Amino acid sequence: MSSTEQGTSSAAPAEPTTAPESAAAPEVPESFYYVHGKDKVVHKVSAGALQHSALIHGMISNLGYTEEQAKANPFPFENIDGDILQMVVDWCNQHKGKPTPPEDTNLPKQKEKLFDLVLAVNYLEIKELLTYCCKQVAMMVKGKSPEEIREIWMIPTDAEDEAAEKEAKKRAGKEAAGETAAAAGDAK
Amino acid sequence: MSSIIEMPELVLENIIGFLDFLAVYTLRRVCKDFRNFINEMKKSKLPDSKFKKIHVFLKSEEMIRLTFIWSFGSQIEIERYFEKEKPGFIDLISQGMCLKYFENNKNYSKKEDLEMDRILEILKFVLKSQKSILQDLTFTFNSSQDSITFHKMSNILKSLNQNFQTKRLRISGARELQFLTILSLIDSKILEGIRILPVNPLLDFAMNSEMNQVFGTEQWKNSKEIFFGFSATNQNVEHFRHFSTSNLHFESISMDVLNVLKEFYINSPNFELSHLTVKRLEDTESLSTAWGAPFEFQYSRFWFFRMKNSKILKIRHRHVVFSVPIWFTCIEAGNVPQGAIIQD
Repeated sequence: MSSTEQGTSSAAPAEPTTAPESAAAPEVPESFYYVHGKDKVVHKVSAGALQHSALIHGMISNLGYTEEQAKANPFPFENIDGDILQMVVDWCNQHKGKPTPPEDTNLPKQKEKLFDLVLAVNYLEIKELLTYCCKQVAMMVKGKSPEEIREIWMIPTDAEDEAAEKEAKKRAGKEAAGETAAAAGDAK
Repeated sequence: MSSIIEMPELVLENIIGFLDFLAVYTLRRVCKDFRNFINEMKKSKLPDSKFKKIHVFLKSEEMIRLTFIWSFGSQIEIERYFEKEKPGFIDLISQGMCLKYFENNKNYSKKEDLEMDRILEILKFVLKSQKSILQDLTFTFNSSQDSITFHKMSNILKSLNQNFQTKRLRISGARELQFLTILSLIDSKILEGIRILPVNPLLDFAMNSEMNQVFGTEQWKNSKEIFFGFSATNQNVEHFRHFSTSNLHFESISMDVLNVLKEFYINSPNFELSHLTVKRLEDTESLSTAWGAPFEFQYSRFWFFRMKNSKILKIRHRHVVFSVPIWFTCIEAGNVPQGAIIQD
């Protein structure tokens, strides 16, 4: 009897501080948020996994969404392709709450995807993943000649670049001329 | 699909941060956009080029040669290799890299001017990337100080806004401005030895170049070693005393000046060696009058004096008619030959 008395008297003030620390972690359901890319495919991601993205973390930390609100308001990332966002989400899930390893060998090998991934990761501010991606991009050209680098990174030569620019200018000039002609026609 | 050129600045810097100097140098050659981007990058973001030796050779308005060397040991081989160069030659070899631009066309057109600018741009890039201390930095100026290329080059060096770190500096030139411009850009805390040489020894040796501004620089005052290829004079000899090691040339030298040097070295705690070459030494007998009877050995006369730091100052004078050598050397007392007198 004395033990229950003691228990109730001491537990009441202590409860709010101890609960989230000890037994609460598995009990409190993990909050989830929803994101979608250009393809509108919605991904359900835990707040823990999203911690990797400084951008999303900043967005959700002050929202206080309920599960329903979160589901109803997925974050739209219209500038990120669906498959790229999938890669990012997968990486965040895999590395949820874990210290990130010094190397990551699971990055896409196709350079087209890698460049898109770099841009997405930079936008979402996922620091570690950005470092891995940048390293991978850098390693592609280590020890290569300028010609090889041009091929690997798909960079046009200055001459090609200038030609393309001229072509674009010409086209823009033509369009502008067309527009003015059309405008002149309208005016008449 | 995204292009690498469109990457945000920070991402590109991040990528370049994983590359070594050679890869970044190669990247500069890929396209204009990369070249401009890398040219604008901060020194702290660029990888160290780690060169041991850099030689800038400004032969004329139309010709410049840059040699960057990573390792020593086969200097002559490298020089020979570079002799085969063709106009606009740019090459990399295992020990280093060399860039050479020369233009045979006398009509100096705008397009060729741009070429020279490109080479100077590479010099700027390499110097900006050089973070470790150089063993040797050499400038050879065959052209006059009014050279446009010299001005362009010195403006580029100044624009980097840094003190270049090298242990040894060697400048061959003809005018004080050339020496002064380079010397004042060197980190005086790192610099140990200076070599100032006339670019054409036969013509310029006698030219008693005005060097007072050079003597006044911090770099000159703080350096420990000097090789001075122009003639020093009785009047400016005070500017050479502080070097612990020196190699100087005189048209003539007075007994008074020799005595002043002797007294200075005796009292100097760091003095090691001074080698004077005097074109005409009149009245060699006055040496014996001033310093007493010499110790004679193999066509040379020696005098020994006890120094403040208890070591011995050895003075050697060799009997020759032209280009008379006089050596001042700091030696241990044990190395004084038997029979020689040590004067206090």
